[in-house]
Amino acid sequence: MLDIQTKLVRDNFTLDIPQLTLPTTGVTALFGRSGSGKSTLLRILAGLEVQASGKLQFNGQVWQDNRQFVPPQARSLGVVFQDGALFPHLTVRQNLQFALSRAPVQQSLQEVAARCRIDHRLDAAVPTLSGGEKQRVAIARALLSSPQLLLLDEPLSALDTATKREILPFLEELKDDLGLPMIYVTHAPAEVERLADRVVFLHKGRVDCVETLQQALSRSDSPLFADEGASSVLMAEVIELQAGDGLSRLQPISTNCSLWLPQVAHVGHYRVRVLAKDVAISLGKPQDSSMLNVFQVSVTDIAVSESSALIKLSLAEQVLFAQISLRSLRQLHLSVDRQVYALIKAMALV
Amino acid sequence: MWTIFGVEIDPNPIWTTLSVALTTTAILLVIGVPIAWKLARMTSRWKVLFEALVALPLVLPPTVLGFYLLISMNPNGMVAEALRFLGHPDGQLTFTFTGLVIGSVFYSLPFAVQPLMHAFEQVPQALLDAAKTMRANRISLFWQIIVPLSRRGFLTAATLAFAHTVGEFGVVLMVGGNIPDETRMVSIAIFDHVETLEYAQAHVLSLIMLLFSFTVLLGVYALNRKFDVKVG
Repeated sequence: MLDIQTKLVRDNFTLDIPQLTLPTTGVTALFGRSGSGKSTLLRILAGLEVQASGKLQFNGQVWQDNRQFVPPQARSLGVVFQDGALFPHLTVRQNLQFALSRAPVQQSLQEVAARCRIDHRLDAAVPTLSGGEKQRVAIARALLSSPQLLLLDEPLSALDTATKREILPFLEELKDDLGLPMIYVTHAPAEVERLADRVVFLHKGRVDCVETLQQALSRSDSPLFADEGASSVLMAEVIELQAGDGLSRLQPISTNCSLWLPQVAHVGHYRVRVLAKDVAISLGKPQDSSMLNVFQVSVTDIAVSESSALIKLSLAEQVLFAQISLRSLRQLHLSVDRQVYALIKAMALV
Repeated sequence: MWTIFGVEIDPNPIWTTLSVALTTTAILLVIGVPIAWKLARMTSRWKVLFEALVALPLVLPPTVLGFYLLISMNPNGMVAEALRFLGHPDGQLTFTFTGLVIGSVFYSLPFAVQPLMHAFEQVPQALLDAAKTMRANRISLFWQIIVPLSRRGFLTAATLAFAHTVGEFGVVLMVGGNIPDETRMVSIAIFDHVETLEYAQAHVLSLIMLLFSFTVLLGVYALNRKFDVKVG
């Protein structure tokens, strides 16, 4: 468990968390807009904000209370900073060795570098690395210090869309393979939905609520939906990585239907993020359509707003949102408990 | 005595100048680093006060600084008293090598602190934070992160402190006086030669100073070019 009670007052900003307890398994996202205090909270956990008062306890170890302040050096953390914070005067190998030489456990530098796919760049100078490579080195460096908790401060926010798409599956793999608890600061709903197990919603220096990802994605007014509209995450298993035509075939958990999408990066569990506006509804099973993904679902809720309707559907035990126009809602006569077909373009799932 | 271009030159002022300048530079690097670091990372509104204090020798007439130093180091003053209490034979600092070095340290302080401070300000806090989370202690933070990233600042600080000490006159005259073989520095020797109309000696010494200063600066600029590290 990570027990947090902290307060930090600055000239124009106050972070005040009277009580927050987080499980130390899986990925916890700290989600909020800029100025919400999410990065500050991460820095407090890392021991980098000496002005913060309060109590911090990680799995029984006291990190901070009234009497002591354990410095970052003694907290056994890995931190991945927004822009990587690589030492520019050292090579990639020397950056990694900086962490490794001070770690209590000696891992193989070569192995970790290979896992992070930077083993071919070990002798490169830091300024010659691309943005994606920098973040991979930063992650490898954090892993080499054998942390008991990995803190990531918006690790993708400085990257372009294509590079984000390349690093995100890599983070998913790390999460599945290492079993290392992570705290992940972000303002991007897509990263929360692909990685997080639970979400701490922060707003103006306070904790709004803490929810599991499922809870956060099952209410239509979730802060995760504020910018891009509602979305859902289908938990699926990769059945065929290369299913031809550049597609992969997956199977949503506890169903036997096929979910097609552009080729994914790895086998095993996969989270497929589906924007509600990419889901169409049909009363009958369409025969001649380009929609590759057709699922029989039931309507569990209908939320009508001024301009559209958000239909909550259930596919086995999973939630799928469809955002349709008010006209479609009227024409289809949708009602709760009705069986319909949800249609998703494969190409919308990237 | 050296004979250069048929002119007899006393080399002692040259040796005195070099040893005062080297000692001063070494001391300034040691005390300048913590001062510059504190100033570079200071965010309080008192920062301007300290910056102004450090920069004071830049604008103060050297004779003013020399005068205050002379007063504070006078043989009956508190400093001399304290030195005698600590076992110094006579507590005398004025008109000695040590006095010269103390005067030079005050006078050249901004020339060491300012380049270091500017270099330290350029070291990103995120790198230090990252190093701390990787269990780096203060010593490795300093030697492995801060020094390599501010080496141009160190080079500039050392050169300016050294060159400025070599070239000083007013403070030296007030605090060190003009004792042959002890506190007579090159700049004062030149002044002496001119006063006694020994223009040949003044010419040779001046030429030596000119060539020496130019060579030092040339070396520094060449090194600066070689060390041109891009940060970030």
